Order: sequence, then C-alpha cells, then structure tokens
Amino acid sequence: MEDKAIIALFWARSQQAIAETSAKYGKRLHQLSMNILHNYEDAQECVNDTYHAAWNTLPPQKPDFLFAYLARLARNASFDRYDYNHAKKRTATIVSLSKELECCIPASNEPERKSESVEIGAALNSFLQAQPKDMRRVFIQRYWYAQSIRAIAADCGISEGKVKSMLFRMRGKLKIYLEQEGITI
Amino acid sequence: MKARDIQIRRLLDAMMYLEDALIEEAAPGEESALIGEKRTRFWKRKGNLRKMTACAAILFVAVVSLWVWKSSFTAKERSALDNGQNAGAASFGAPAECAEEFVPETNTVGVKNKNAADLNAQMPADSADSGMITDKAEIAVLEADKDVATGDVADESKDGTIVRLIEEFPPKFEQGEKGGGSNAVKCYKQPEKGGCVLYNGLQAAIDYWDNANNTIELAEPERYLYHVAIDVFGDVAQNGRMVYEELRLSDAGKELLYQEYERLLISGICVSLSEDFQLTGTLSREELENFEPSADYGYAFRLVNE
Repeated sequence: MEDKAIIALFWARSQQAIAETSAKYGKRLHQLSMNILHNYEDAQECVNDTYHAAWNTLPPQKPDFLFAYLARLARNASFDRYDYNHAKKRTATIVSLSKELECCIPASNEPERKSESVEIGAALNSFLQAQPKDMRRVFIQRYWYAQSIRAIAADCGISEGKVKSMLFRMRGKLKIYLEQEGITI
Repeated sequence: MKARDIQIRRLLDAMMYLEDALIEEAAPGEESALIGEKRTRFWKRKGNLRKMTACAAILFVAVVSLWVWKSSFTAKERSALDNGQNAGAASFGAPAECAEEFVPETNTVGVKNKNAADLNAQMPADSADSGMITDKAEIAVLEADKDVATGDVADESKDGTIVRLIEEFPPKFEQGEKGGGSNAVKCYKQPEKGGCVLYNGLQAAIDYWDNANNTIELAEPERYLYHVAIDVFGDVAQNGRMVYEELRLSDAGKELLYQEYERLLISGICVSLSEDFQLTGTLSREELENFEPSADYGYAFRLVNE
C-alpha cells in the first residue's frame, strides 16, 4: 500500500492503518530500534510506541515521507528507552557511535556559547546535502539509523573497509564544516 | 556525564533534525534489516547458557539410561545363550548346513574322560548348558587313554582335525537311502531295561555322516560328534507301586536320574544334566554303539533338535 493511502487510513481513524504500517515498515522500524537497544522485547515495545505515537499524531500531521516520520518516532522512543534502561551504562553501539562522533566536535575558543540542537541539525542538513549521495547514505545509515558497518556494506553493496573509510572522511569533513560555520557543541 | 559525553550526545540528538527527505533517501532496505550487528555468540546471550546446561544435562541422563538399558538387555541375551536355549539351532536345509561345524581354538579336540567328569560333575542347577560343546565348554587334550574312542579322537585331534557337531538332521531326506527311514514316525516304544533305542533322526544322521552315506562332497571334518538328548526310563515308585516311566517326570525319578548321570560321567561319557533334568551328551558313533546301559534303566537317544 502506498504511503499516502496509509496516511489516509490514519486520518480516517481506521485500525487498518496500523496493520498496513506494520506490514510495510515493521521490520525496518524494529531493526532501527534493535540497533540502539539490542533487546528484542524493548525494541518491540518501542515499535508499538511508535505506532501509538503515529496514531496520536496522524492527524493533524501529514508527513511527506511516512517512513522517515515513523523512523524518527521510533528513534526517539528508542533513545528514551535507552536512557531509562541505562542511566549509567551504555550499549556497545552507542559507545562506538559516540567514539566515532567525538572527532566531529569542533574545537572552539568560545566554550560559553553553545549552539542549540536545532542549529546543529540545520548545519548537518546543509553539510549532508553538499555531499555525494552514496557518502550521505552511508553517514545517515550509520549515525541516524545506527546500522552496523556490516549491514551498511550489505545494503550499499560495498565492502566494509570502504564503509569505514567513507565514514572516516565524512567525519573529518563534518568537523571542518562545523568549525567553519562556527558551530559549538 | 562528562562534558565530552554531553557534547557527543548533543551531536547525536542534533541528528534528529535531519530532513525527512535525507532520512527517507538513506533508509536501509528490508534485506539489510535482517543483518544486524555481528551476532553475539549464542552462548553469550542472556539466559542461553542456562538453557544449554539444562539441555546437556537432559541429554546426558538420556544417554546413560539408554546405555544401562542396553547393557541389561545384552546380559539377558547372554544368559539365555548360556542356558543353551539357542544352542544348536540350525535350519532345515542341506545336511552340511544343518550341522554345526565345531572348530576348536586349539589344535586338539577331544572329550576328556576324567576332566570332563570333573567339569561336568556339577549340581543339576548349574548344568544349564546341556553339554553342548561351545567355546565355554572345557575341553582339554586327553592323555593317552585305553578307551578306543577317546584315544582315536585324541590321536586325530593332535593332528588338528576338525570335529563336526551334529545336532539335527533334516526332516526331508532322499527316499531309499540305506538306513534312512521315514521320519514321520513320532511315537517310539519305550526302551526296555538294559536296552537302548536310537531315534530315527539320530540313526539317519549317523548313517549319513559316519557311514559314508553322505552324498555331498566331504570337506575337512573327519570326526563327527552327535549332540544327543538321552531319555532314561526306569522304575519309579508312585502311589505305592512301581511304574516304569521316564525318570525325569517325577521327583523320585530325578534322584535316580542324577545318580545315573554321575555314573555315566565316571564312565567317561560326556554328559550334562540341565535344570529341567534333561540329560544330554556329546557322543561319537562309537560311543553310541558301545554304550553300556545299566540293567535297571532303558535309554532313548535322539538328536537334541529331533
């Protein structure tokens, strides 16, 4: 079923909307949640929370990209769950992502001024749009979808080594870009 | 949280503000959704180690139980064989197939007089093997003996002769053979006191093997021993009167039979008395022909499977 039809079902308050959403995007949403939480039950719960949030927000929302919308909901729910479960401990994925992104934090001579997340997000959008499609895809799959190197390589049809090198270059570029933009985290 | 961690988390959170178009564009395919991170080793996953241990324990118990059951089953089979229940079971076929070929482990084969008497002088309850020559049977080299049969056997055994043990004769044999009477007669007259009767099957086997009536080519065996059941008849006191019947049918008769069994042993005949008081023996043709019966008893010889 097309995304527009599913959104229409949501607007019509039809229970079929959830079923169709689950059938079309359930696996991917579950995988996204699993990438962050590494727990099947928690991931399933987050996916259910996603459907619930979608039901509550559609309407009035009418997203142009349904999967991106749902994925954002699932990601938020997963990170909330992650924070709840592991106040002090971290999963391996978060640790690895954190380590990788550490090098993206620009050096700043103005530690007092801290940019808002929105501002940072806007900068990221600009940065990514300027990048080649394949590199952009790899970067977002890694740091937005929290996919493993192996999964990214399989999805993009490239080797894991190439994925790692692309991410390395992207991180370097991002750091330079953020410094040039004066973004302070 | 450390400052650095906060910064990193802010960056990750900022990713939330990426445009939907970029997110949609980079959405991984459904196939890659099945490829997660490198799977944790099965036994490292939570709870699986416990499950594996439980499965291993159950498997171990099952294997041990099966082994114990098989051991007991095998022991029962061996016990049955030791009792001679399967002794001498030969199919009815060509004579060569019927006869059990006995090849001694040593080069010498024979029936030991004294030793056999010693070895076979057991309580009836112990003599469950019915005297069949098996690997377990204690057969030793005879010293030179004045008994012709024994001496002949010993002499021949020293040369490595193979002895064939005859336990049954096929019910069907060619008509017209000398000595080959019909085996359809099942009723036999009781042997008289001091006399012996050879059943038709035994007589036919002797004629076939020992009396050169064998129509098939002779192979290595040169000596034949006949595994026979010996039915002993005598006077038994019953209800105040004497009845001439088979000794093993009554308690009083069994006592007499046991005495006769000991007498035969001492005389050098290889005999054995089973739990049910069936007297059996392994005799050559000469021993059968030269058998010296007691004047008080009658003897009926037949092949064990007749």
